[in-house]
Amino acid sequence: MMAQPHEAMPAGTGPRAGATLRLDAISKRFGSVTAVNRVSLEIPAGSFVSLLGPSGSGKTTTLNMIAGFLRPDEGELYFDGRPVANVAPNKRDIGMVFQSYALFPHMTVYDNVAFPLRARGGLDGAAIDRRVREQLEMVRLADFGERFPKQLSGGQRQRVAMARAVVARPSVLLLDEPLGALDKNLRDQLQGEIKKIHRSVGSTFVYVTHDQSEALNLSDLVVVMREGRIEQASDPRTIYQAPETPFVAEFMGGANLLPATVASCSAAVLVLDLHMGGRVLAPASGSKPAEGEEVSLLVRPEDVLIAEKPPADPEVMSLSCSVLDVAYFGDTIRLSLDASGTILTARVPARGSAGLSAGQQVLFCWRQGSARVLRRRRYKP
Amino acid sequence: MTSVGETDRTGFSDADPGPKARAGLQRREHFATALLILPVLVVTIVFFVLPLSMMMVESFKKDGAFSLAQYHEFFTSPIYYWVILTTFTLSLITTVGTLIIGYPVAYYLATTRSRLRNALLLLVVIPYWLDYIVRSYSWMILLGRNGIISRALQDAKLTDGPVTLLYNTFSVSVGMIQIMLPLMILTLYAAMLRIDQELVLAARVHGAGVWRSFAKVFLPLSLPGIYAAALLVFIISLGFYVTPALLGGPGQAMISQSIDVIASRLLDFPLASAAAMVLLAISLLVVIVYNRTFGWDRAWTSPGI
Repeated sequence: MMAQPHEAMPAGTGPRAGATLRLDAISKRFGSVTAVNRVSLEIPAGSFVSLLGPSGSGKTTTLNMIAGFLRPDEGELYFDGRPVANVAPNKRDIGMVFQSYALFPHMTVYDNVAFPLRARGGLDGAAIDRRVREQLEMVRLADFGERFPKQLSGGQRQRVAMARAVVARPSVLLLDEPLGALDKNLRDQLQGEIKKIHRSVGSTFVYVTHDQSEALNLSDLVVVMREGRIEQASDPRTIYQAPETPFVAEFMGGANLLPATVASCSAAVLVLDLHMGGRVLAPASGSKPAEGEEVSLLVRPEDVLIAEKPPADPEVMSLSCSVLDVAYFGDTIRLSLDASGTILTARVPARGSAGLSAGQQVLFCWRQGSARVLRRRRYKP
Repeated sequence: MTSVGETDRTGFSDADPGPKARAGLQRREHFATALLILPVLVVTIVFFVLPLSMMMVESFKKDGAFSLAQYHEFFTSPIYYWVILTTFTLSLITTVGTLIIGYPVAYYLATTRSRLRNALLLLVVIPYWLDYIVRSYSWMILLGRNGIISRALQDAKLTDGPVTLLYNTFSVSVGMIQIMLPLMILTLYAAMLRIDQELVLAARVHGAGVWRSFAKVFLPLSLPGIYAAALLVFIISLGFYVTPALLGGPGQAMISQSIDVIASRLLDFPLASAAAMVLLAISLLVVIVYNRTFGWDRAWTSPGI
C-alpha cells in the first residue's frame, strides 16, 4: 500500500483541476476505412473516463487525436473550450502512459521522469529535482533513480511511465492500455494505484482499454465504442445494469441474449415470443419497442436461478435445458446450458450446487424484473 | 533376435539409445557443422590468409634474411609520411561529408510513411551498382576544363577563361563522398529503423517540440548507427585507389596508389608489401581504438543501453 505524504504537497504541486474535454463530431479515415466516425463526447474536468471496446473499435485512434498525434479529418476538439485540433502535442498540456511504456532507453529513471519538466521549461534545476524526487517517492521508486529502464521489472517500468506522465501535473492524462502487458495480480494492484494517483493529481484521465472490469473499476464514465462510433456512454453501474444495446450487454461480460419478437406491450410489462420457443414477460424500461419488433432479452448469468421443478411464482420465468458443462471457481460455479440449441450461461453460488453435473435436465429461471429488453440500434446513414 | 538387439545398440530404436549413442549423435552433429564451415574456411585460407602471410614474410625480408629495412625506408621517407597524412585527411573528409549529407536522407527514409520510400531507396542504391571508374569519370566530365560546370560559368560571364575544378582535394573529396554516400545512408537507415518511433511521440506529448525531441531522443538513439556507418566509410576510404588516381593530382596520392607505384613501376615488392602491411595495421588500429571509444558493435544489438 502507498503512504499518504502527498496528501499535503508543497505549493504548486498540489491537485489542480483538470481540463474539460469536448469532442465535437470528430472523424478519422485511413484510406477507405473510417476508424472514427463522427464521435461526440463531453468529458467533465477531473473525471476518469474509459474508452472501452474491442480492437478496431476506434478507441486508440480517438486517443491519438486527443494526444495530437493524429489530426481529425472532420470535427473539432476542445480543451476547456479552446479548440486544439491544430495544436501540436507539446502545446496541449497533456501526459501519456503508452502501452509499451515508451520509456527513453538511453536515460535513467530520474531523467525519464524529469523529461516533461525540462521540456516544458519554467522551473529551475532545484525545483525540477524536488518534483522528480517527490514523484518517484509517490510511485515507490525513490531508490531507482539511477537505474536504466532495461534494469527494471515490468511493473516498475509501468510505474516510471506513470510518474513521467503525471510529474508536470498535466490537465489531461492519456492512458493507452497501460496495464495490458502485465500479469493479473499486478494489474489489480496497479489499478488501485492509478485510482490514487487520479485522486491526488486531479487531472482529467482518459483511459483506453479492452478489459471491461478495468473500465468498471476505475471510471466515472465508461464509453463503449464499436466500429468507430460510441455505442453507449454511461456511468459504470448503468452500463452494466442497463446496457442500451446487445453489443454493450455482451461486451460487458457473459450476457445471455435471447432473440425475441414483441407480442404485446402494455404499460409496464412486455410479452415476448422467444425465437427458441416459449412466451415470457419482461419489464418495459427505457424506450418502448413496438408490437412485432425484433428485440433481445438480456439475462445476466448471475441473475439466473437453477431449479428442478417449475417455479410457482408467476414472476419467475423458466426455460428447460440440459447441463453441458460445470466449471468450478471456488465461490461460484459457471454452468453452460443447452436450451433447444441455444447456449446459455449461468453463474450460481457453489454452495448448494454440488449435485449439478453434465447431462442433467434442469430449469433455467430468472425473475422477470431482473431481465432487460434491448432494442437493436439503428444508425443514421 | 540377436540382430534386433544389435540394431538397438547402434541407436536406431525408439527407446533411449543410452549415453554412448547420444554422444555419438553429438559427435556426428559436430562433424556436420565442421563440414558446412569447411568451404568458407578453405577459401579464406587459400585466398586470404595465405597471400597475406606471404606478403608479411616478404615485407620483413631483405636479400633472403630477416630485416626491417623496408619499414625503415617507408617511415623515414617524407613522401610516404605525406601519403599517409593525405590518406587520413581524405578519408576523414569523406566520412564527415557523407555523414552530413547522408544523415538527413536516412532520417527521412526511416521516418517517412510516404509510399515514395521504396522509390527513394532504389535511387540511393542504383549508383551503388555502378562501377567506381564510371562514377569517377562522370565527375571528370562535370568538373574538367571543358566540363559542364566550367562552360556554364563561362557562359554566365562569371569567369574569363575555362576553370579547372579537377586534380585537387576538392574533386577527390566530391568523388569519394559520392561513391561512399549509399553505404553511409543504408547503414544509418538500417540503424534508424530500429528506433521506436513511439519514443519520439512520447517526447512530443510530454512537452518537447520537434527539434528538442529530435535532439534529446532520436539523435542519441541513432548514435550507435552513426558510429558504425562512420567507421565503415572511413576504413573503406583508406583503401581508395581509382578515385584519387582519376580525380586527384600528385598532392592527392593515397596509400593504395603508392603501393601500386612501388610494386609495378619500382618493382620493389618487399617495400610494397611493407606499405600494404602498414595500411592494414592502420585500419586495424582504427577499428580497435574506435571500438574501445564508441562500442560500434552495439549498433547491431538494440539502441540505447
